[in-house]
Parts: sequence; structure tokens; C-alpha cells
Amino acid sequence: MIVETGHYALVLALALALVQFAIPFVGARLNDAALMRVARPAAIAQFAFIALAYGALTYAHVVSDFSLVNVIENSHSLKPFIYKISGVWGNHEGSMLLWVLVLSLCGALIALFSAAIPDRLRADALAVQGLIGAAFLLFILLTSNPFARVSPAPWEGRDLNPILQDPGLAIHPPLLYLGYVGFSIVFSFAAAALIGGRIDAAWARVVRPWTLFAWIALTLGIAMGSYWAYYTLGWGGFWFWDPVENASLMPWLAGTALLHSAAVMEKREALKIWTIFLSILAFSLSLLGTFLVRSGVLTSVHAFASDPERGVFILAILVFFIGGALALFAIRAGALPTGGLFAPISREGALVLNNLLLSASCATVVIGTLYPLALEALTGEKISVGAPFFNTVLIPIALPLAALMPIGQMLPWKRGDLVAALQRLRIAFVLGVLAAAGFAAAFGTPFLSVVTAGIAIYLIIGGFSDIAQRIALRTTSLWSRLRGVPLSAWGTSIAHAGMGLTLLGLAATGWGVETIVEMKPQQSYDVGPYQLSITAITPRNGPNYSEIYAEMEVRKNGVTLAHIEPAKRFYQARKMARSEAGIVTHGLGQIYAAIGDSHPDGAIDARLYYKPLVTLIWIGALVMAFGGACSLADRRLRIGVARRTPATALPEAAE
Amino acid sequence: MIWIVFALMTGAAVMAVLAPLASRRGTSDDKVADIAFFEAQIAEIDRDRAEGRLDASDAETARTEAARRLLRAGAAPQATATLSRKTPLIAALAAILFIPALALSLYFRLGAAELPDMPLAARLDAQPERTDLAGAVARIEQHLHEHPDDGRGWEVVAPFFLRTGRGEDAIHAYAEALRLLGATAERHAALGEARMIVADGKVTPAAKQDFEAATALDPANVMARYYLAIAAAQAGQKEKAIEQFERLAADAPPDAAWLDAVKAQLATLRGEAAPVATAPATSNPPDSEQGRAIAAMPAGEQQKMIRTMVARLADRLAKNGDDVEGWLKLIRAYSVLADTEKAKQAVGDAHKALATNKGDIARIDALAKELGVGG
Repeated sequence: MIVETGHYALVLALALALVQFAIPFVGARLNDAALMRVARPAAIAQFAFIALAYGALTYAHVVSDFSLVNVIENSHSLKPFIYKISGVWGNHEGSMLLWVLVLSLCGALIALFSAAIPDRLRADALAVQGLIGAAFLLFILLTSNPFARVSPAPWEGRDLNPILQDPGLAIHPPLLYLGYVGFSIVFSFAAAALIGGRIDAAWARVVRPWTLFAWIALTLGIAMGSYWAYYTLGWGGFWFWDPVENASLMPWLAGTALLHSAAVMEKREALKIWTIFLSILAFSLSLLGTFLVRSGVLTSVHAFASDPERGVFILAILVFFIGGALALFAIRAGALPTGGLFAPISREGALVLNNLLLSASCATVVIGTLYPLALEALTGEKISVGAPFFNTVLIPIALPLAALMPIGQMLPWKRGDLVAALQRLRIAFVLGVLAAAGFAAAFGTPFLSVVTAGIAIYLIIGGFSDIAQRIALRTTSLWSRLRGVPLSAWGTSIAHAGMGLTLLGLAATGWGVETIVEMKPQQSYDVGPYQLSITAITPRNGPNYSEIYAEMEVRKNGVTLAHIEPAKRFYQARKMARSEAGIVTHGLGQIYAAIGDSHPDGAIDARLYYKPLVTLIWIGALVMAFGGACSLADRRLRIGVARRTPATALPEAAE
Repeated sequence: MIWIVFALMTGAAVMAVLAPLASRRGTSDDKVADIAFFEAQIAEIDRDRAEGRLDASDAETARTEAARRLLRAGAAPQATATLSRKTPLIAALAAILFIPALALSLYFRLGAAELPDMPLAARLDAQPERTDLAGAVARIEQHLHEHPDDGRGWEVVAPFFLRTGRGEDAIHAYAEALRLLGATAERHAALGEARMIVADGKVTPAAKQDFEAATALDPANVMARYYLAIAAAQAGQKEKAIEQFERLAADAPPDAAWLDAVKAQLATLRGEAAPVATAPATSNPPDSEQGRAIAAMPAGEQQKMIRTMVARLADRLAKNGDDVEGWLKLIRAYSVLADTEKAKQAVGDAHKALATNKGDIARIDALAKELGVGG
């Protein structure tokens, strides 16, 4: 009964989503207060019903109700409890249900936390949100119903894909979806502004925190996914330029650009139309990502989902919403009032440059991801666009962008002085160069790593230079000076420093060591400054798998640092093998071991890696997200103060 | 019961839409919202100034700018929302009709209201149906998961695993039974047989060890002796295999069901084609209860089929020898089956049958030379 209740709740949610679209939309056109008010309770009720459906599906997974096709195909009675829960979203149907759950959650959040915005804007935004929800609910019910039943029910399920049976999966998709779908809020508001034909004063204020919220979740989701791939796929890599990974990077890049242009818009009322365009773009790229992952046009390490019928359905949704929003933009954008003006050399100008560079990166990733697909569709030729392409194109964009970040922070709003800004950054420049020299002395080549590491250090120091100078310039007590720095300025500095940390971690990959050896027991193998040896190779049984694991000892200068147990697991129900890497974190670097086939003489193939500073890649992402959270916590109504710089020859921008 | 729940849910959904339609409260106007926003912004600047976050000149600049925006918002044309009686009524009626109509019609198409929840634990606890073998196995598995030291359970479930193609599980179950209940010849032999089936009919070293352990405990164990003889045959020790099968046949009671299988093996080993041709019907291996699973042995079956076909081809050529392609096929087949004697004999027979055609003889000789069976 619980299962069918959930199924019915999902159907009701579809009806409510359609009502949430139609009645408030008509209300906004007729300017009827009562009709517009329907949006809020409808959005909240829709969320409640989808949550009920989601709860019912989770229940079915937890109690191993094998009368559901979804449970049969993705669960096993002996699967550990945590994977029974995470297995709900570890498959196509369940993950789509999670997608609409998050979507309706976003709708409910708009309904709950939008007291300050005009009724018409809210009604239109929730109407658009309802329409997106209805499209995806229809998609789920008609092509990917998680509540499909069979009778008689079998006695055992086929188990979850072993690659997905990992704690990483428990966190990664929900975070990623919060990010993807979080952009739907911004999209809905942008569409509402275009439909209504006016940009309210509150618009930018509403958009920036939601963008930040989505961006934080997406940052964490991508970092989590990358770490998960790093330790479960056993290749020692953390980013494969796999289309599914790119699918999450594209909205991140667009979202980062949006974040900055929304900041300009909130404080300076400039870049309004560009912000609306980026709002549409960020969610459109999320939809594109969903299409790529869910339609089965790709076959990649993300091993789930493939069905052409579904693909066409999602493609239709994609075309409708992206095409509709862009058409609306083309028709309406010209009629919207443009915002404040600014000189090219100013905080706004720097942020425009940032936007251009981020958009260029985003376009690169889009092309690199879609081109092979288009080529295969047109000519049948299969090519793979991988790291060489992306590195060649993205590094020349990313490094100047990183170099410009602290300079932008130093420029005042409206009009600025580039020379003065550079002078204020001289300490960061000097430290960056010294750091590069230090890294060159310690690790040596490649040159690119040395330069990148130098820029990373400069970025970290430079990010805080602004705050340091704000504190140093004032004459009051240190505490009140610290208090005088707004939380959002801390957020900027911390997030930029996080970017610097990630950059440093990426630079350090150039100094890593990789060896592929046939390891014999009791024999020592050098990996960078460490020595690894196998003490025993033993079989072991887990709850739903059996494994062979190697007990390895990690030593440095004769001192034993750690014992690791890289393993090869075999999952009986799916007849699939999976490797489990053994990882030791020492300092900020890691020693990574994965085992392969064993030989009759007791030796075993192993891939051993030493990765200096590798953890910084993910620590940097955490720091970035923390910076975002600081900025999000700053809820003041802000105005970017246009400093009256000493009279210079800068062009005077008209108001 | 479930329909009452559905009715309540539908009611809740409809109410969520009706409640705001019934309210007569007015609405905030776009312009009013803008003015309120800029006023709040000015208040915020003043507070920042008071708390020392902004210095005097910055605060003044920001204030001026916000005030300018406020003025601009105040000058915009007014657009007050209407409060009509009719439109909410139409919307309410539409919602009352639309929500249940869509939800029910879609649910009738997709849902299965008559199916109850089927949590696995409850199904395992329920009275088992007599015919539901899979359910019984699932129950035993569940029991074994909780009591992994129940050797009897492992022993009972093992043959079912083997029959349903879960070979690895069967090996595990037999091994557990052996470990927990103690070693007997039967248990060793059964474990060895499971290993052999998993290895596509090959007697692997591990399986051979099991059969040897079985004969050590009981030298008369038929299944172990039978498979050890097969092992010898597979290892190419033909004489040893024949000897072992012969002894097995000699020890057999005359009405033993497995005697036919032994005779068939003997015939094959000795190169007698005739009994092999009828083999599929009679070659039930010994110990029919567990040995029947051997029929599912892919490699063995293949071998058997090939032998049958080869025997048929040999018969046909013996009657009508004017077919060079047939002879070539036969020689190749014997060679693949590692039956050099028969291959040589076939080359000789072909020479006789095709004596009139020099070209054909040359082809036969070329193949014989290639395969190393030159007569």
C-alpha cells in the first residue's frame, strides 16, 4: 500500500505542477491577485507529494520489495543498508525522481522565501518552475516509471552496479542535483522577468543568493564526484574529460560567470541583460547535462541509463525550454532597461572580462563534448576528444583568468586605476615568483607546473591583499577593523584562495610519479620518495562480494607510515569486478595503489602512484564552497560604493 | 482502504489550490515593492555607517545613488492588481475538475492498486507454497545468511544452486557443508563435480583433488571414480582412462543406471563409433540424482554432438565414398578430436574410395601432411 500511495502521489504531483503553471500564469496576465497566490501553496504541495513518492520508493528499496522492477534491477537483499538507500538514486528512474524532488524543493523554497518580491514576479517564476516540473514528471511517469510492478515477484534482485556501491555515491548525486537544479530557480526568475517585461529592483537580490546556493552545491558535487572517480575507478586520475563530467563542468563555468555578473547587477544595477542571459544559459547547460547523462547518447564510465526512447523525450524537453527561453530573450531583451554605466578599467570591467573568459572556457567544454557526438551522428566516425584538446585550449584561458582575479578584487567600482591596483598587489607578485622558484628547486620540471604553482600562490596571497589593506588602512582597533570588512569580501577572498589551492594541486600533478609493476611479496618498490611492499595477498568475503586484497606497507626512509589494502572485488550478482584503491594521505600528497591480475607465482600486477599535493585539488573546492557560504551568509542590501578616485585622465562614464 | 487514502490525498491537493483562491486579500504592487526595496537599502547604508562598516564619504555616495534609484522607482506608472470575483471561481472549478480527472485517469493507466507491498522479510516469513521452489531456496539462503554455520542447510541448497546455473554459489555451499558436517566421500565428490561444471566440464586440478579425497575415504565411490577416469581421458592418458572405466564397469551391479554411461565412454576411448551414435540417449552419468546436472555441461555436450556428427559422416562415406569434401571434413574432424589412428585410417579409406581421381588424392595427401597424419 505504501508503494502504490507513492505512485499515486507522483501522479497527483504532476496534476499540481500543471495547476501551478496554468493558474498563476493566467493570474499574472490578468493581474488577478487571487490567481497569482495559488502559486505558493501549489508549489509547496507539489514538493510534499513528490517527497512522499520518493519516501515510498526508498521504503521499497530498504525492505527489498521485489515486486518493483526498479528494486529488482538495482537492489539485492544482502546489499548493505546504506547502499539500499543510496541505490534509490543510483539508477535511471530513481535519479530522475531525485531530480524532480530537488526541482520541486527549489519551487517550495521560492514559495517560502520570497516575501519581499512582487507578486507578479513570484507568480511567473513559480509558473515556469511548475512547467519544468510537469515536463519532467511526465517524462518519469511515461518513460521511466520507478513504480512499475511485476507479479509474481522474484526472490532476489540483480544488485546495484558495483561501481556505484560506495559511500561517494551516497553524497555525490544529491549534491550535484542540488547544483544543477538549483539553477532552475535563477532560470525561472529570468524567464519571469522576460515574460513580465520588467526587471524589478528585487530581482538581482533574489538571483544572487540562489545562484550562490546552486554554485556551492555544484562545486561540492563536482569535487565529490571527482574524488569518487579517483578512488573507485583505480586509474589514479581524478578528471577524465568524460562527457558526463563535462556535463557538470559546463553549468559550473556558466554559474561562476553568472555569480560574478549577478554581483555586479546587485550592487551596481549594471549588466542586467547579460545576467539574465547567463541565468538562462546556466540552467540550459544543466538540462543539456541531464540529457547527455540520461538519454544514453554516451557510453562512459558513468555506467547507468541507456534508452533511445527516453533520449528523444528529454531532447524535446531540452529544445522546448532552452529554445523557448532563448526565443523569449531575443524578443524581450531589447525592451528591458539597461543598467548603470562604467569605465572599462573598473571592478565592473574586470568582472566583464572574467565573464568573457569563463564563457570562452564554457564554450570550449561544450564544443569538446558535443563535437564527437555530432560527428558520430553525422558520419558515424567515432573520435574521442580528451585531455590534450582541453588542456591545450583551457590552460591559456585559465592561467590569465587566475592572474586577473586578484587585480579585479583591487579595482574600485565604476572607475579604477590599473597601476595603483597592480602596485597594491606587489607583495603577492613577489611571493608568487619566489614560490615558483622554490617549487622549481624542489620538484624541477615540467615548466608548466612551476608557472601554474607560482600563479596559484600569487592568487592565494593576492586574494587576501584586499582585506589586509582594508585592515591596515584604518586607525581603529583591530577588532573593529576586522568587523568593518563585510562578510561578502571575506567570501570573495576565501573562494579565490580556494581556486588558488585547487590550481596548486593541479600544478602538482606534473610532479607525480606513476609505476606499473608486477609486485612480488616481500619485495620493496620505489614510488617517488616512498617504498611499497606487499606482506600478504589474501581472499576475503564481503556481504555481497568476494575480494582479493593485498596488504601493503608504505615506508619512507625505513619508517613504516601506513598499511593499505588495495583490493579487487568481485560482485557475484552482477558478475562484475571492481577495484578498490589503497590510499595513504601523507602531508598534502597521497600514495595510491591499485592491484590488477595475480600471477601463479604469487606476484600481482599493481599500479602505484605518488601524487604530491593532490589533496589540495579537493581541499581547494571545499574552501571555494566555504567562501561561497560566507558570501551567502551576508544578507545586507548592498550598494557597491563608487570611490571618488583622485582626478585622473580616466574616461568619465555618464550615469 | 487504499482508495480512502487516495481520496484524502486528492482532497489535500485540491484544497492547496482552493484556499488561496478563496482569500480576499489584496496584492503588493510592483512599484510599491521597488520603493520598499530602495528604502530598505538606504536604511541598510545608514546602519552600516553607524556601525563603522562604511566611512562617511562612501556612505554619502551610496546614499545618493540609492536615493536616485528610489526617486526613479517612485516616478514609474502605477499598476494595481485587480480583485475579481469571477476569475477565481472559474479557476477553482477548473482545479476541482482537473486535478482528480488527470490524477485518476493517469493512475488507472499506470498504477497497480491491487498489488500490496511485498517486503522480502514478510514474504520469507509467510507460509511457503508447495510449488514455489525459488521461494524455498530464497528462504534457506536468508536462513544461511543469519546462521552461516548450518551445514545441513548448505548441503540441501547446493544442488539447487547448481541446477539454476549459480555454479560459484554451489561450490561455496558444498565447501561449507564439507567443512561443517565433516568429510565424506559423497561430499568431496559433489564438491568436485560442482567445480567441474563451473569449469565447463573440465576436471580442474582442484576438482581432481576433491575426487581423489573422495576415493581415499571410500575407494568404491562411483562418482569420484567415474570423474577421475574422465580426468585421465582429458589429460590424454587414454590407457589409464580405459583401465579405470573397465574396472568401474566390472564392479558395477548389472542393473546400475550409470553402466551405460561408462560403456559409452569406453566405446569412445576405444574408438568404436557405433555406441557413441546412440550415446545421447544412454550416457547418463553415474549417481543420477546429482549427476544429472552434468547434462547442462556445455563443453561435454558439444563434444558429444561433434562425435555423433562425425560418426554419421563416417557411416555415409563408408556407403558412398565418392565425396572428396566429405573425406577432407572427416580427416580434419578426427584430427581435431585428437584421434590420430582414425584419421590415418580415414586417409587410407579415402585413397581406396577416390583411387580414380588423381587431383582428389593429392588434396587428401596435402591435408594429411598438413595435419601430420600421413598414412
